[in-house]
Amino acid sequence: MRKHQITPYIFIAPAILVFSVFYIYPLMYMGYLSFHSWNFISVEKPFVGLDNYIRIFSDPIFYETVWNTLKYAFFTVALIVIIAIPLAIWLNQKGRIFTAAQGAVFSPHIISLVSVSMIWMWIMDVDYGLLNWIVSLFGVKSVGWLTNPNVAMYSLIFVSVWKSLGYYTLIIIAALQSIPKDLYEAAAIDKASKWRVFSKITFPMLTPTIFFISIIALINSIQVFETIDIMTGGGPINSTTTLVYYIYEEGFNNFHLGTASAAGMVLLFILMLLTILYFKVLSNRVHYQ
Amino acid sequence: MAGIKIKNVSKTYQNTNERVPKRIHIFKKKIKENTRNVQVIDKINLDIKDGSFTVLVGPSGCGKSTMLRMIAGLEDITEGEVWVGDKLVNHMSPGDRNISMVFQNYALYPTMTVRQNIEFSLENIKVPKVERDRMVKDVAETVGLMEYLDTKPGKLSGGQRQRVALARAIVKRPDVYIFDEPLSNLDAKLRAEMRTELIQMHEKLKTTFIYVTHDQVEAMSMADEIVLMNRGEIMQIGSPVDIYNDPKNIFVAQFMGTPSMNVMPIGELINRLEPHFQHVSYFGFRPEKGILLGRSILHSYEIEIASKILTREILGAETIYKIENKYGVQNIKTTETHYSLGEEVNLCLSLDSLYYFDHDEQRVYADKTVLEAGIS
Ligand SMILES: Nc1ncnc2c1ncn2[C@@H]1O[C@H](COP(=O)(O)OP(=O)(O)OP(=O)(O)O)[C@@H](O)[C@H]1O
Ligand SMILES: [Mg+2]
Repeated sequence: MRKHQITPYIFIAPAILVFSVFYIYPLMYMGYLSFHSWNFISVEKPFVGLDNYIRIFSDPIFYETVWNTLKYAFFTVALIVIIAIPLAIWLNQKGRIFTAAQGAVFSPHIISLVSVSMIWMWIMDVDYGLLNWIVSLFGVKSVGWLTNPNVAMYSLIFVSVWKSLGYYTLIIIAALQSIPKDLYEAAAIDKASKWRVFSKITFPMLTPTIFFISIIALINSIQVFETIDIMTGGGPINSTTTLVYYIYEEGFNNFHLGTASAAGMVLLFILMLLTILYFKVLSNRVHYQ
Repeated sequence: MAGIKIKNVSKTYQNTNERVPKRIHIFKKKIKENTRNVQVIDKINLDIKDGSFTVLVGPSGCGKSTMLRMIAGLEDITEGEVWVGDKLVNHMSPGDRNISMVFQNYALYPTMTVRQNIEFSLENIKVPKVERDRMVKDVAETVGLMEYLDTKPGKLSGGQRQRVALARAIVKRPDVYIFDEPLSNLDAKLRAEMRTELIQMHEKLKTTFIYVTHDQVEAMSMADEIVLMNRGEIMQIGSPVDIYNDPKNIFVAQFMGTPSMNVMPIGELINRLEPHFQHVSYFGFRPEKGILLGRSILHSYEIEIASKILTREILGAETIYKIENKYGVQNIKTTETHYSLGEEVNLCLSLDSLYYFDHDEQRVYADKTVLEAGIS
């Protein structure tokens, strides 16, 4: 009997070990650091209580950062969901053009994010960027895509949607193809209009997938870093500083590991909250068979 | 209500396999083969009477579903005409043909409740809510689904889903009902129940039913008219009794009945036919027409063949023996259970239980040949 009780634990031990070393331990250590003061170099890490938390919560830039992060995440997820569904439906047709188009839409996903950022930085350059040249053809004055504090965030959102849209579209195409064909045949015999077929059959059948991609996109976009680091460096005037970028700045530029960890804890908390909220609110509306 | 006329209908699937690179010469012949079109229905003519219960039956892949789907409008008609009532429907979309179809796996809309499933087609043609509610209630009562109206199909049993599919079909009051193997996902007991219910439903509705199955028991028990198909062609059309008792060829004779008809080369039995039946190549008899008798018993059957028992299967009410004799191996269905393996018996047949077929496996009517009895 005893042997039986131990065996399962032996089986999962390697996984638990890896998980502990690479996930649990850093997480705990971050929690620990958030109550201490450390600058990477000093041997001492004096306990400072809630000081780090008080410091970030009394920093107006931190609030701006959280706001920026939420704004970025909201628009990215919303745009991805709104564009990916019709795009997937359009691409999910037979024919060479559509196969080629699927490849084209997917290709940004396999390019490194660093290259993508560089390319778009060039395209969006105020003075000699492609985008401003195109815009000028329509008689519009140069736009500071990455230098205007009112625009920069939306430029970043655009790049991130452009980069990941194909990936999410492909997931939706796969979901579309797994909808049984005879449902559409039954609907044809039932004389359903195209709109009714979409709203009553296709869309409801897609909801689990849409739920899945929106939560993945949400988590990914809250953790955005590379594009910001390369394209704007959090500027202009902190208008594109998001939480992860803030943490990076605090930790690796200002060597305030304590406050960086405290911000990290806040990020973790926000992600948890959003995920729970998401499941609570949306899972009631999602159809699982 | 409407009958259906099928005139010279053919169906060819374009089997293009365009991905093979065309410039490679060696593959050229292969490509030709791959791109060859497959004809699955070959110039079929069929007249389905208004209000009849017509069962299309045949082996897997013979084109039954294709036939149905062409009638329903889910598949293009390559050649020929399909008429529903007095309308030529070749180019009509499925929704305009006023047909209901019950699919093998029901094809219920999984995201909708039972009620929504049933009223979906009514909403599509904008039936007012009050009327819709009444119609849904009526059919739900007919098929016994009242308690489940607000349940989703995923939570229902196979039999209940089947009923939802039926309700969805009935509520439209179509001219024609089409069923593609609707009972094949149910267990044996439920299938028998649903069979009876479908027969009653047909009697009540008096609408044309076209029903596809590969189960001959379903075909025999439900049909007014059986259409027996093989490889895209109709082998025989007739009532169940006709098809069973008067098969026009070996295929039909062997398709209906379990075990199937014993068909053997005519052998020296040819000598006992009149001279102008020399073209008969095969004879056959139904397993239940063969009588097994002990060697020592005196009897006076027209044909007696010395045989040996090979196997015995006791099925309860009846027993199936496999026997061997100079004509080959045959199945015999009888109520006798006492013959043991290896036992020597006589297979006794009366002449009028024999069927004859020619070289092309077509039936030859040689039944009334007057022959004297004798042991062969
Ligand atoms: N889309 C298609 N493309 C090419 N060939 C097809 C297609 N659909 C069916 N066929 C072929 O047509 C033939 C008839 O198919 P069909 O589905 O009508 O058979 P069936 O009589 O309904 O068989 P079953 O009893 O197994 O359902 C088969 O040989 C099948 O391979
Ligand atoms: Mg079929």
